[in-house]
Amino acid sequence: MKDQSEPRPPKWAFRFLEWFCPRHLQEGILGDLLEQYELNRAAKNRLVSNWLFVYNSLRFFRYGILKRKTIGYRSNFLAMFKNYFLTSLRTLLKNKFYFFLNVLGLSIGIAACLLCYLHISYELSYDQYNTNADNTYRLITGDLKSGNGWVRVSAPMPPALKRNIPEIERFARFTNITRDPQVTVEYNRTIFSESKFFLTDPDFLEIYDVPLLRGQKSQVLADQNSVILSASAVKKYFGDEDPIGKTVRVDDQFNFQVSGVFEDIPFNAHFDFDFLISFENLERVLPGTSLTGNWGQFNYFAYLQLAAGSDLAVVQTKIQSTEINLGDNRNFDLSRIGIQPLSEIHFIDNRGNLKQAYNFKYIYIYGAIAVAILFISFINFVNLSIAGSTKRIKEVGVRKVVGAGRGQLILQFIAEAFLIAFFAVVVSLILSNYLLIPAVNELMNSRIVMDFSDPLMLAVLAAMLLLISLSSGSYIAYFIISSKPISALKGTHTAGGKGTIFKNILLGLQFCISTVLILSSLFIYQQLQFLGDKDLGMSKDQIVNVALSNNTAQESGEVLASRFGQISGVRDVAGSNFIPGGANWNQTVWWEGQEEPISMFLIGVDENFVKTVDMELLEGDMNQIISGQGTQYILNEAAVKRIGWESALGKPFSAQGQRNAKPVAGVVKDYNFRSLHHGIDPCVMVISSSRTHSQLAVKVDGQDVRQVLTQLEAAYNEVLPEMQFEYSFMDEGFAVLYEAETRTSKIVGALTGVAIVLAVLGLYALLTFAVQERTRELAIRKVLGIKLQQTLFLLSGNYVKLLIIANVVAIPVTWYMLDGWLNNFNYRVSLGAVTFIATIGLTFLLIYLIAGLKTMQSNRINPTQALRHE
Amino acid sequence: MKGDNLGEFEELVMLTCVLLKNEAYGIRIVEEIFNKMDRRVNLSAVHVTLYRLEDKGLVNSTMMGATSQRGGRRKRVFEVTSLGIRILRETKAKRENLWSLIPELNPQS
Repeated sequence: MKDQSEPRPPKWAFRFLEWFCPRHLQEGILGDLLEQYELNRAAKNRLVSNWLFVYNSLRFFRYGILKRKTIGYRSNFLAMFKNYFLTSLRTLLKNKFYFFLNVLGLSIGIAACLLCYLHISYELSYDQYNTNADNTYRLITGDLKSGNGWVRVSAPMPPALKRNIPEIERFARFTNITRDPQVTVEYNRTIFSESKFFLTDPDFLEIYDVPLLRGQKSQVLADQNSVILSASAVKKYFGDEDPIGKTVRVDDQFNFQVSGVFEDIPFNAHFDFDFLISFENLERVLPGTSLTGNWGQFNYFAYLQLAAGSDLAVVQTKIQSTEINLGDNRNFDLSRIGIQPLSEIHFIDNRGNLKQAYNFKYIYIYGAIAVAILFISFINFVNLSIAGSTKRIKEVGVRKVVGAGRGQLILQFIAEAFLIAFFAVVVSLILSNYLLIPAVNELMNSRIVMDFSDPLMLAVLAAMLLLISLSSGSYIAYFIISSKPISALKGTHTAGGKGTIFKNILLGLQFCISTVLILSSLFIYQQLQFLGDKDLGMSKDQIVNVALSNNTAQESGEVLASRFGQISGVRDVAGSNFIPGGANWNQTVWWEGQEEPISMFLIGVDENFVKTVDMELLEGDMNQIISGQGTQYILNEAAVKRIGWESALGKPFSAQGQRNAKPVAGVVKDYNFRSLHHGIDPCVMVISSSRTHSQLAVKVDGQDVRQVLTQLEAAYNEVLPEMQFEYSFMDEGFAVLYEAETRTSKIVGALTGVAIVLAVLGLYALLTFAVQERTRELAIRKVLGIKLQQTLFLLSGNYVKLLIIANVVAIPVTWYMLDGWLNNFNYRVSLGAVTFIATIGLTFLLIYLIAGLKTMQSNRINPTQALRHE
Repeated sequence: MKGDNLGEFEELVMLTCVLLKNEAYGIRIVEEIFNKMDRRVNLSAVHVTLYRLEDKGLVNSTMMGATSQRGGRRKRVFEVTSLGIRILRETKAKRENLWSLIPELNPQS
């Protein structure tokens, strides 16, 4: 038994010291440390002494001590390191095809990951450049988190909230200048249609970073008649002229004086605008609106700047409990109003957003595929290295005999892997910068730039480099080194052996990933096709929307409509404000017996619209509607259901206050006015024959749409000679709603292509090695009379087995993943067995093709040649 | 050569060595510096300095005096060489020379 008082400092510190300390100094140092420890033990308690011991020994881990250890070893070490790289480079250059394949494969994998990283960091950068980003919020209403909120509120709400809630430092309302998509802006006979023309409170410039090139923040919007323009708009209208003080005319009605110029809004902002005027103009430019009343008109964005450090939940509660008295004892209900941080705007697909929100799910999809590609290229790399290792075994044998240590040999292979990975990183950077990033930007409609000084990006690259070289290098080394030097030198060793199992697992994984990718891209494509062909409850094909972009044009709407109606091939013409997915007008409606205010989407159309787009009228009479006078309301089924009516026809209803109530003129079957991600919301068509429709919907009946278009243009130019004929196809407008899906489909398709090419290349290379190794065996078999088919089965048997196993794993996985994705849609395809079977058939075919190619090649060799050399 | 001049800490350690005679090993030196100069120094600093001085030939070391303490380990006892003594003297002389040239710092004169 040891004496209790005998000092025992922590063992690990002891060992550590023994490890790093030069042997000849150890005794003296350790002795001193122990003596100190004994002294400390006498005076202090055990824990403190232990700590002091550890501290004091760690202090010896310093250059003055360390340098005394390694002097003799280090120089040799460095020289060896140089030698590793040199021999690696030589072997790599000796097998150029194999080197090329490895570098190419890995670089594609790395580039995929790099792009994925750049893409994610770009999407995350939305609005983040703002100095106030953390304190800026937007008022929204409805379901706050799920993406079913409506992001606009009424005009008097923000000022009222600011008066009541001290946390709100500033507010700014923000809205389009018209309900139509576009207005015309004129300066000195230059007229353009502009869609990015907004009204806002002057404080907007304080809340959001809009750097001014000309003018003062506090003054530019102070005057009601001032307008500020983006730099590119200035260039468009004024060229090199000085814009300040010049007057632009809007919609041929309003004049604004240019008071400032701002830098173009960056692409990674959730809105984009070229013109800003003061919000004071609201009542003037949008008839029927009010700055102080109309609490139910939820049509304006409202940004709040909260005091630094404010709590979202607290402010939200305060907003919801604010009392707003509307007079005559009615309180406005704020309980469904909430705030949304600026950073969330880009990621939650609320209704009414100005830009398509980014769905975070895609980040996972892209990320998973990028990693899958990296993994495939990695597997290729490892498998090829092992397959090619027969040639290296002699070299390793010689090194072992000469006396190389295990660590040194491992290091050599890591160095080799590092070299390949390093080349791959360089190639991937070049590929990305000059080829892939422009392509991705085109496809994703983004503005990604590679910033070589981004520390995180460099870290990601370095991490990939290290991960690849360390894992693959040590794995390859493990294989080659475990061979016995004698058998290696004798040349009896063959690659494989116990490596086969692991090699097969990797290969199986690769097959599995490829199958999952092929299946996914096929089903995504199918779903998109399905959405395109889905019955929307209205027709969208062969409808040409002719824009009426200003007042003059709108007033000529009826004349134009009748002219269009006379053209042969035109079935119907109707005025409408309907744009696919873009029902932007949301207002509280009234009906008889209403208990709570409900807001619905309003779509302004004329009496011919229902017929033109082939909606199915469930109640009401088409002829009556067409011949009806004044305002009429047509509800969709969802609206009727929301109100709770059995039948709607004839019941008093109004979208413009109780005073203007009219009997409901009809009910139509639900139609998808928004994308098929969503269900169908209550929606009211407001039929008015007034001349305020922003476009004419022309249903073409004939086959030759081009021919009709020419005639439409001719008619248009006759009626409105000074205007430009602008048109769009309705189905294209709907296609825009599925942009995100279309993009995903394209990207998944492209990545799948890359993955398949990599897998095929890998398989080809593996077979090449296999055939090389078995040249003599095959030659002997040939002499003995093997048939071509038999050779084929001999070569492909292993891979076919693997593919079967891979499919067994891949199919359930794909099923599960795709089912989850498809459930995002209200309307989806089923996962058909045909696609699965076809895909599997295709992969088998591919393997037999590659194997067949190699079989033909090996069969062509003359057996005497293969067998002769010894 | 740079090593011809003694650093302040080097001088301190060497002087302590001379003072301690046969007892001049790591931990005693640390203690002695604390006792005489009221200065806490780390053991590793003393060791590293002594090894450097040994490289320069200003001190010698011998392993000696195993006891039951220190886990039975011997001490590395340092001894200042004659070259070391000479350098110490020179350092002192140079310094005094400098002092004597500055009458303001000398309160007696």
